[in-house]
Amino acid sequence: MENNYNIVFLFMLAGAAMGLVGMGLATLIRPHRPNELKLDTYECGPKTVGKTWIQYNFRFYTYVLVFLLFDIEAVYLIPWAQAFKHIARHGIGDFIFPEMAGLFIFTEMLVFLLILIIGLIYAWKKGALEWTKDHRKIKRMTGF
Amino acid sequence: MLLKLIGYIYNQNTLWEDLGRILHFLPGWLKVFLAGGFAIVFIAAFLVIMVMFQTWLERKEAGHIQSRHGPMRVGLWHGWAQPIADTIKLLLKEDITPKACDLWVFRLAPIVVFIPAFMAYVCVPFGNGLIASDLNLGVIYILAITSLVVTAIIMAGWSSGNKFAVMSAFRSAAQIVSYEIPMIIAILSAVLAVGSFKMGDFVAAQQNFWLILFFPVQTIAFLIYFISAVAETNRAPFDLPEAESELVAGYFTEYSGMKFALFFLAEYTNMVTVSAVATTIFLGGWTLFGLENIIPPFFIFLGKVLFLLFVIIWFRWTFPRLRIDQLMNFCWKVLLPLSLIILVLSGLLASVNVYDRVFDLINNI
Repeated sequence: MENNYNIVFLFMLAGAAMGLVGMGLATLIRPHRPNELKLDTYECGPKTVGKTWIQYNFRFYTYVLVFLLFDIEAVYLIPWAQAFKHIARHGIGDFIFPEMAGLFIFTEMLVFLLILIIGLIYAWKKGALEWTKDHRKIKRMTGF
Repeated sequence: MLLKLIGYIYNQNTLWEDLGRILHFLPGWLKVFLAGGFAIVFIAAFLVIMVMFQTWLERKEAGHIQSRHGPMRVGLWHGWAQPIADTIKLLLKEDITPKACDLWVFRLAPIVVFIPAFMAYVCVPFGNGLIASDLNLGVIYILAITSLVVTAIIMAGWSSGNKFAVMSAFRSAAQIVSYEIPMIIAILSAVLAVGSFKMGDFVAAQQNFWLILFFPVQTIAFLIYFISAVAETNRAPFDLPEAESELVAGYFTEYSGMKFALFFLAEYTNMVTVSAVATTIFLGGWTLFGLENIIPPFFIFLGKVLFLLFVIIWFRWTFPRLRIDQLMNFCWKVLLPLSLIILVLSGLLASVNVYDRVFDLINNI
């Protein structure tokens, strides 16, 4: 079918239904004999110490910041990529050089990309893309 | 004959017309419902068979790479019935919900992980006309839907109340989110060549030649996409979220029975999805240089997907697992700059109409 978004909704319902039916079917035939030990948190034998829901490594945060930057970049690139071929072939409205229209919008996006690449280099030099602070030490110890 | 029947049932353009003639008294929404229902039944059957086959293939391949046989007992020929036995086992397993978990999030996560995995198939062209709905934003839709998996993984990891699971969920989020960017940019460089987001247009443009064969730029884009896709599906060598030697089983450590099976199903479904998308965008979909008129297109598509799945499983038994900082470095310092260069080169080729000229040249031979 050509471009029908109702099907997407049907697929969502069907996906949920398949999951629910699978789980429901298992409920009917599986055994249910819980005891204290089974319901414990699994940790290779020993008892859990302390809370599970703790604060986690800060490094994830800087990655997510850089990710947001590039994800938004991708959002801006999507309409550009969509329109590119049409413009390269047919030109834009009353642009003076129709055959140069492709190169024109390419240069425009190149400027945008260059700004982002400078941003990436900045983040790189600042160490936002390093997982650990002592990565040089790890490299010396392990060899790679 | 059977395939032709399935094709007829599933090719909703003809179905639409024929049904419209016979059932002209039905309202439009009911016809959409029927057509979507056929598609859902077809895809669900396809996925279940594919996932079962994949579990068998993975064990057999692992076995033969390590000079052993893999499963041989269940069924008469090379353990073919092993996946069926596994399904029955998973259905009969006791479902344990640990005390420490956040109950409703824990219960919802397996369903939430499966829904996007299934929804991605709305616009995968299985063959000539075998597409549930050729969305005009198909590629973007698939990228958006498949990235929703990360929500379910965080839900599962956080609600389990298990330290391994939480750690794994965070790792997985960082990994999936990071590898999404090279993936999107690699696909955009292919979009520049075709000039459309419709999956059907990708196949139509590659009728006589595949993108990766004639443009080195697209070959590299395909490799970037494929590596990122392997990382997105948490497969080895990027399987840090479920690294069994350090994190037991990762975010589904506390899951058992059917809930575990749904995670498993979603993971293997995602592998099929990324193979199908790579096939459609870079490898010409269901076309094979005119052979699609002799061989049913569905089998050509299946062959390409199975080949890519074979390669993904091959990776697992070839490369050692990366360390987390190597994993992130590889994404941000190798794949991302490389994909940006590829995008610029692809834009340069498109801006002087090289793609169009080559397409026209080859189509006219």
